Amino acid sequence: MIQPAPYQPSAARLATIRLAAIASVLIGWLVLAWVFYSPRLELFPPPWRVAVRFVQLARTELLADVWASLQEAAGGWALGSLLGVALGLLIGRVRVAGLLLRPVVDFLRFISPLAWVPLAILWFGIGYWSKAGIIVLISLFTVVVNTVQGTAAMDADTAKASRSLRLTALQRMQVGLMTAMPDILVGLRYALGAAWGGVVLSELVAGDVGLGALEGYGGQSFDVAQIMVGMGLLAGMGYAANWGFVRAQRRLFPWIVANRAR
Amino acid sequence: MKPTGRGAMNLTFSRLLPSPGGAGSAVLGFLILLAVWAATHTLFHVRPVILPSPLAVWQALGEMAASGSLGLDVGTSLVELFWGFLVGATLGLLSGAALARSQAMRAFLDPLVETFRFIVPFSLVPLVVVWFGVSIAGKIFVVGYACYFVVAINTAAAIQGVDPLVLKAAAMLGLSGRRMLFQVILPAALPRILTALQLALAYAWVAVIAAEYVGASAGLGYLITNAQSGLETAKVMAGMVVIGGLGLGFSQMVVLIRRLTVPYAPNAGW
Repeated sequence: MIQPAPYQPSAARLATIRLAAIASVLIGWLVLAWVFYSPRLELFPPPWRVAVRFVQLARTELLADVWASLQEAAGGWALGSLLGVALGLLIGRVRVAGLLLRPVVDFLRFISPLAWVPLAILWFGIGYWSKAGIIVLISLFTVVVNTVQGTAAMDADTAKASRSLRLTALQRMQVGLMTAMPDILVGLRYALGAAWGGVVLSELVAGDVGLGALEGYGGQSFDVAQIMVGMGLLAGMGYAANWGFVRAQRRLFPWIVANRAR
Repeated sequence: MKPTGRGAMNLTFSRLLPSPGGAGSAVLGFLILLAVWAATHTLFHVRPVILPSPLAVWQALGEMAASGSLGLDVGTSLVELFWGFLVGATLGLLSGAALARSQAMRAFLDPLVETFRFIVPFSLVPLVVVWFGVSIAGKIFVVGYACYFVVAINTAAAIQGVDPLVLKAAAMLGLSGRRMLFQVILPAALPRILTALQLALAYAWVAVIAAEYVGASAGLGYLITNAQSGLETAKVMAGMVVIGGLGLGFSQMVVLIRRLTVPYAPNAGW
């Protein structure tokens, strides 16, 4: 619900302002690179140095890092989301489960999933699962909360109707799932965005391979261009994942309005 | 969810339970988890490096508190949280208001916000370690960045979402300028802004811990990573309990502020 402001600049003017915004970022970057220029230590490399570093890294290790991060994010997100939807439906629709599990979720979500990183390393060592486990936790908590919210949104008439139609427990679960779907989709999309933070942080701490590890090594060798390559790639992957998710949702659930706005 | 015809017995029983989503429910969850944890420990004899007993974690907590290291770590983290949140939330509120008020401003800020919100705050951590070393400036940078976007986007949405009918009615009653802002727009937008600040505070707290994982010499994040590299699982879990407890405290604080400032808007649980 965007209210038209009393003064409305023309479309061409808005486009110019938009271009000016992008230009100002580039100019700001150049100015900072120039101000912090030092021949020995590159604290703020200009864009072309980052591009050169990107090409150098792309020829060697970059693909392996991207692949590792992608696997962790995708695997953790998928597993966490499945568990989250199942747990959410259980809490929302089965009374005993709700009484027992909801307080536990209420407590655990105050301990941020990212605070589990050291414990995950102790439990799983430095490998795939210590990182994917964090993404599982991130997605799980987000999706549980949204699924419960969604099942609570089911109105009494639908519940009565499904009872009078003598739907089986499985069918009633299905009705609950579809009622909750808009909320679940919001949770899934949010979790997908948060997953990249989990990836980079757990790889920074338990880094052997991955974009976070790439950034970590860059930090240790004061290679800011390498860090920036990692940041940019993570942002790009996050953007692509978000775009793909919204597209897929439109294709699969065209009747759901959630997630339509950015 | 309304209990439908399961008898009055059930109703009185559920009235005794803490309302779901609240702090009482979280405390109950803690007790349930504690029971499961203690049972697992006594039944299966897990090695303490994998799962220490609740008692060992309690002792670790007591030791750290007695030696004063816990106080130092908590203090460091709280100071970082305070400054980071202050910087990020203030900038977020200002740019949110600007985004909502002016089309030209929105055209300028929108592409920037849209680009930068995909740059994960935690991916900045190695960068600020190079730039600022272990000093607090880097942590403020990361924490402020982490809470800026949620505040900016939601403040803009909150101000734009004020019912135009209310604005027209207020204008018709002769309100304008400062009175319009403070007596109409702000009270109408405040509930959503407070929700944004609540979220931002949670993000900021996570960012504090995350920023302390790498390149820090004190703080709760440093405490747990340091304990992890020493295989002191009891200390790691004690640190996590402190992190969770403080997080719960912050969220209750915001709930209280909400109740005091916007008693007209119902508090949304989850």
